Amino acid sequence: MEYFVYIGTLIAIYATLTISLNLLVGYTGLISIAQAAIYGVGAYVTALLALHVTNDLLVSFALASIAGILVSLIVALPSLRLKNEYFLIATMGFQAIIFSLFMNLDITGGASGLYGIPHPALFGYTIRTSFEMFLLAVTLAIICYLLALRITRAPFGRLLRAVREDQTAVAALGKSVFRIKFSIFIFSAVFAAAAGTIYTYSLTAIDPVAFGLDESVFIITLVIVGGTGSLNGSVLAAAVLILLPEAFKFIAIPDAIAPQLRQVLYGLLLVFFTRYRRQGLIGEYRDVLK
Amino acid sequence: MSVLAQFAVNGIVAGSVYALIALGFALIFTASRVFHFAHGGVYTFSAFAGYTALVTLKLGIVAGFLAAIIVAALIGLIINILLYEPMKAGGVSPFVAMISSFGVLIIITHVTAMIWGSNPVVLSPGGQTTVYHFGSIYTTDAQLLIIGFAAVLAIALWIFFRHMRLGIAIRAMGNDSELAEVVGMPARRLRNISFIVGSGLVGISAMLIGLNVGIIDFNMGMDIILMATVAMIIGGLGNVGAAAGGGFVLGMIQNIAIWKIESKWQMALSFAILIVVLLFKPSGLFGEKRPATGL
Repeated sequence: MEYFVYIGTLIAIYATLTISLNLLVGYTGLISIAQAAIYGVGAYVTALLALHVTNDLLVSFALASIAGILVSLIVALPSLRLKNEYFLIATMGFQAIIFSLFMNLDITGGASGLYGIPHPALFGYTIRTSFEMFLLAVTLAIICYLLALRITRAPFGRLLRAVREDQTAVAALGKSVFRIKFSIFIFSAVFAAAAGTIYTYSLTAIDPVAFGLDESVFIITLVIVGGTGSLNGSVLAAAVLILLPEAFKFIAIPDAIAPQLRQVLYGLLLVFFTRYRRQGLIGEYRDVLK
Repeated sequence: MSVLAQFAVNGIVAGSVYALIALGFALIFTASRVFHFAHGGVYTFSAFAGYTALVTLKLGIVAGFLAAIIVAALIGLIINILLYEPMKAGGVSPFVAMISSFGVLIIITHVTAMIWGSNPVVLSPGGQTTVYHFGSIYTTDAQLLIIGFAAVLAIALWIFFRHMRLGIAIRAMGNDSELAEVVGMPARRLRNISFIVGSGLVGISAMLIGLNVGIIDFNMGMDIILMATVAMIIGGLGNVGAAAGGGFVLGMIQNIAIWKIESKWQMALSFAILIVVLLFKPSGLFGEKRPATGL
């Protein structure tokens, strides 16, 4: 039972991350590869707060989000001046730099990370069981989903898609392309950081490996497999891609190669979907990846 | 003073290593406009192929290099034929191929770990490299080979792409593949040849670098392809000679920085340089004055 609760929590966390990145990739056409870094900033801020200051959940969410916003400002300001490949490479650069900070700073505990993180408290009630954490993760995913739905259906959502399709036209209408991109970047960062808060409190121990370049590529894979520009697709992809490797546990695959096989599977899915099905499982905008 | 000189020598070696990887990477980029990240996977896999020939089967050093070169060239060619060419033919931009390439990098890296295990293996047991002393500075024959090979290749490829008809034609094809076909260039074949040559070069580099370091492991292609990307961009995109120059500059900066900055910050420093170059000199240090970025 504990096992299924854990898997469910992971799916909810990845659904949140995937939706938040899909707003950039699918709706706005910004292929950012720094999402894991911002997720990590949320996770580390939460862990440091819980260890040294407070384990209050709402304070954790608030400060993790603020830190996420600040870091994404640093990432976005220079990167958003660049296009396509160069945007991707600039965000990859920031991903590497932030990962290096997690790995090498004294305060983040280096390669071994931070552990012994206390349970969070919500209005004075301490959340102890993993089932309660699961409910919390699902709640965050639902809030993220509903807000993303609202944004993408609002006039602002049409602006995002317009930026994706033709920036020059949007600029010609007197809208600031930079401001539109910037706003969605910040929104995306808030949820990535909040997912980090949930992750830290669920695992009670974090290390840098969970927030590296591989992780960013994995979240991009989830967006593409689910379908760029499809929120339902993002949720579906998170569920399928987390569950699929778990099936290895039930068939006879040696423990030594199971983690490798999992990565190979993710790599194959990324190649398959970029090659044969660029709209993803249930995406509708075939043209995002053109 | 001699400490600084040793750092400079280390910088030249590291710079030549990056230049070697960046050369093949840039050659492929010039011909196909794809950021072929899977190049890092080809690097890793070919080193292990060389290891099998050299250490496991004890076929000798020439066979080791041949195995690495052939395996690398084959994988590069297969990736182009099965993935990039169909994507190009389907009107998909090289940008999407770049994302796909990440997938291929992940696949090759972990298949390597499944075949040869996830622990490092010894490619050159002690005593195979000779150490030379120049005063207080030391270097090895593998290092001298790396420096020489990188320099010769960089100059040869620079002359090829600047002054020879075929080289100039390949650059033109990179800019506009359709136009190249209209004027009668066998674009597909030229791209295939570029993948064979670029990948074959990474096979040689993998063996040279593996022999110099002594050990190889399945993850080594990840970091090196990131450094090659940094090298190619700080040197100047679409220009093979400039990429080699970028690699050289990167290696020098990293190693001279060790004087003041701990080595654990090398990766962060390299990417900080990358971002500064992207923002302030997007055409690169040695590239043409044609901005590759916009908005």
